[in-house]
Amino acid sequence: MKSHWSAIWGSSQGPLRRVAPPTRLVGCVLVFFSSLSLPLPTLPGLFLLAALLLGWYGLSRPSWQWLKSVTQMNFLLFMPYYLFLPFFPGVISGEPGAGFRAFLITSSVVIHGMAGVWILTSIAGLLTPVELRQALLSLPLPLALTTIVLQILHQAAELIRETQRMASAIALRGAARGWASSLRLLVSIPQLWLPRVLQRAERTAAAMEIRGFNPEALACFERATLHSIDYLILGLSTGIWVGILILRGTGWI
Amino acid sequence: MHAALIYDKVSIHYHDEQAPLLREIQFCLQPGERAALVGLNGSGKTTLLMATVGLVPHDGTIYAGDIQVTAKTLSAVRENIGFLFNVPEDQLLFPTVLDDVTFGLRQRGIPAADANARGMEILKKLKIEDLAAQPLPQLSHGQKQRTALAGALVVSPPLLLLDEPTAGLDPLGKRALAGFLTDYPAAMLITTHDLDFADQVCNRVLVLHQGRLLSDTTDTRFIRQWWDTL
Repeated sequence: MKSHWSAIWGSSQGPLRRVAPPTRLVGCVLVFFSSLSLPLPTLPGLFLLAALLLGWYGLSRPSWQWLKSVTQMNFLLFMPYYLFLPFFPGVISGEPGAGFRAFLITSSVVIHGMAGVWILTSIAGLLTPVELRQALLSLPLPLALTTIVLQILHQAAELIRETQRMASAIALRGAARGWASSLRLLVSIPQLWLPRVLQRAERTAAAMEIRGFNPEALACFERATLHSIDYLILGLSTGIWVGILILRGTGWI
Repeated sequence: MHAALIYDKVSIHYHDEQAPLLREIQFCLQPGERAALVGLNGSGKTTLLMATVGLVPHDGTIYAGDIQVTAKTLSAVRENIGFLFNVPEDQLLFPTVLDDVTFGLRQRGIPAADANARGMEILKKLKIEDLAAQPLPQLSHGQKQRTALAGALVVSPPLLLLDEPTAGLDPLGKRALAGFLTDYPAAMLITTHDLDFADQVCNRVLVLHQGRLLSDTTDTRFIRQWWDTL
């Protein structure tokens, strides 16, 4: 993804941006669980998943650039699963219909996975880093966990920049562009990137120590307050998930 | 009146088998005194600052204000010191400029509104108040440097340890920083290679060379001449 890491955060324009940060976060997680609960690749399951994704995207309205990047990433992550089709047990032994069954199983994994990535990564567009902190602090999560998540995201921005600088340096110092350059970057990770990351981690740990940064220190930041619209959205998201579970349990889908 | 910072026969060894990086460093800073610590690359300037806040073990005695720097007193020592790392990215831990700058105040129990007001005041003095809501990854190196400095200054520490604060600053930023530090009422130990900046800000210059304190002077002409002979 070439887009600026920090520019992606909070870039969505949908009406969901107006509700409290914890509602956006929890709503997103509930929609993710709903997508996981759908039976795929059945026709009703696919129809409901499409409705769920369209509804979610309508409410969050992420930027096209973000959507394009996540879709590319999704294809890179999940399409290779189809390469395993010839190695399914029934397919190897030439069992009739085994190829189609293998295709259905793989498709279920691929569609669930892609939908999950689309939904979960939309959190980045729905929340700025400050709102994410507010959301996490408002939820009954251990402060240590919140601290770790927030620091990983905060430091990721610098690591991405570091990686981009390394990639530029490799390209400038004579390595070919395109795939060859990417391959060289990949090969150089253990030698160059990891030691740099470790040194940086060491220096950041020293700075944290000096600045008195610890999980409890996060408690000094504001939490969000919920309003009736937040409860309504949380109720609706829970309702969708429970509804899907009931439909599935009673054999309707 | 107690000194703001005392080094008494401070030696630092990185590895037992090697010669010490710093040998029997001895000097003190009075409250409000501003000293530049200069020396060639690898002369131990940063290491001496790190030892002062307990990040590097040392032999000998270091006092920050009235408190001797030992493993047991580190939190008290660090509360009274504003520290600036030479790579500002390392010490910026929060998503936006104002968030990061006000952390020290919020941590001391100051309400968010007061902390923000004080944070804005410091940002204004460092001429970066328009960056308050900016996400940190979008800042230039110089802007990050000033943000990190604002975070160190916001709690009004009586002692500042600044590791190459002018690195990456443009002339305007350097001038603003020099003006700000000259008026700032705290003792300062500033590592730098920029003798013009040292001349502007500091009333004393200490030279580290080959692990020893080579010179303690108020005149940088000697250092300029010495550097020319190297």
